[in-house]
Amino acid sequence: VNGAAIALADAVRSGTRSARESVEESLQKIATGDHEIHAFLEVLADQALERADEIDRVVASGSDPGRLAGVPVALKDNLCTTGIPTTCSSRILEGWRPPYDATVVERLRAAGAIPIGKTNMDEFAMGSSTENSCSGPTRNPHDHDRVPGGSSGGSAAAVAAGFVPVALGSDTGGSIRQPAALCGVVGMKPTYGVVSRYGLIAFASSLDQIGPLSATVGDAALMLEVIGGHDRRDSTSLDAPAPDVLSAVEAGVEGKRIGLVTELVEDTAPEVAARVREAAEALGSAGALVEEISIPQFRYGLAAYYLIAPAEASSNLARFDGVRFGLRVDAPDVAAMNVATRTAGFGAEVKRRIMLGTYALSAGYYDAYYAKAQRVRTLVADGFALAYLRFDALLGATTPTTAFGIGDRTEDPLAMYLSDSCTVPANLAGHPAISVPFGGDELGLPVGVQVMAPALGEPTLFAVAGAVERAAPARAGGTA
Amino acid sequence: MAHPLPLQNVLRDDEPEPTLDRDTVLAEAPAAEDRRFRVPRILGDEP
Repeated sequence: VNGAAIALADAVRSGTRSARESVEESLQKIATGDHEIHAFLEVLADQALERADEIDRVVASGSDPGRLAGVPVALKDNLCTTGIPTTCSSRILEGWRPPYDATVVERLRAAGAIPIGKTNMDEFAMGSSTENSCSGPTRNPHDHDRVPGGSSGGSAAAVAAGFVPVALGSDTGGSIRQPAALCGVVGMKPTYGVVSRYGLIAFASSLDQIGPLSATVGDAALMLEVIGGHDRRDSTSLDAPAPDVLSAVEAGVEGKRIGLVTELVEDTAPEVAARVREAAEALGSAGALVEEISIPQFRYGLAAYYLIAPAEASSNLARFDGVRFGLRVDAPDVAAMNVATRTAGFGAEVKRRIMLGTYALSAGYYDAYYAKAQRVRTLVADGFALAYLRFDALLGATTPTTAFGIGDRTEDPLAMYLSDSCTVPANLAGHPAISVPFGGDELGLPVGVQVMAPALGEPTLFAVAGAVERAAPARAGGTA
Repeated sequence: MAHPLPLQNVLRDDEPEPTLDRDTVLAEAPAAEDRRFRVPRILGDEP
């Protein structure tokens, strides 16, 4: 299976390339290029080189360091890393060093992968452009005046710029897939419960999933096999092994029934819609049975999402109270200290969502907002269920537009929220979804095609994604 | 629908296990004293 991480790990395991060389190359690229992109909040040069030498010693001793031996990985800064600052791009966590590794980080390390740095993000993963970061925006490697998407914009940009072959992000309403689409890389959100959330700083717990970003579908498959599988430390973790997906990437789509979702084509920019239709035709030529299907419930997904996610966030973010970690702004009593700490520590978008969430959950409005949003969530899941009676997988755009300009949507939160309209349905239902680069617009900006599958349909998802990747045309703008 | 999974009552056996090291955790707190988190006064000093 084709992939930079796959090839690199093979070379390190067979001793034809050292992990040290691989890490040095990655560090060199970051040193040369990241002052313009700002994908990283923190680069772990010394630790990474030390770890690389350990891996090389394991290889020299005749042992196998694992399936990701010597592969540099970038980690979104909401994933806990022992002793390494983990900030969620928020002032309220500045300088905090977690006392433990997230399960996904533990599993990457155990497989021989080398964490190379922590990546920039929208504060607490709230945003679609990586502009809501206390450390300033990340820039799109394809056009430095445009956003990389978000909230995993640092991870997407790090892969697109070639700093690392693979990265991890988190996806609550599209935060892996949307930046992947805007940066021209692969981004995958697993079925809810397939990847442990232990050590992921929570945004909206019923929606959050960790997943890979990579240059190829094959690399994303390998990453998922490494990070997936049951974890007793996450009570929402499914009691099942990691899905077997690497073998699916080249399985083809002969006889697969694929639904092209009207709502995920019609509501997008003409050039995005054109690429999605081309991808559908290519899948047809590859032997799939492609038909269009309307899932009208999808149009209500975004409104439900922007009540459910802030409601859950307003509860999750209550832990940032100036008592146990991060920032404290002193005041004469505890209540005043809580207020002063949060006022200084949270950015504007985080405050907006906490207020929206507490309002939606308040006694007089709970039924009108939160309870109704949950009913709409059921409708969206029903829409999927009906579609999957006829189809094995669904196809649509990942984003309504290609990358927009830095600053274009910061004054209009609703315009920013619309960036997530194509991605939230899969989160609401808890289903797996992936964005695969498929050509570009007239400016050469990347377009992402989204594939969705039913819960635990990862093998089908990767088979279709592999076929989309093989059919993808070159982009007019060339490489990043 | 409040949750995408039908999982319920996910419990482990009620056996003591090691937890995070207290000193490591307290070292990251804004203020600690006597192996506990220290906070400003909670009740006012009015009678």
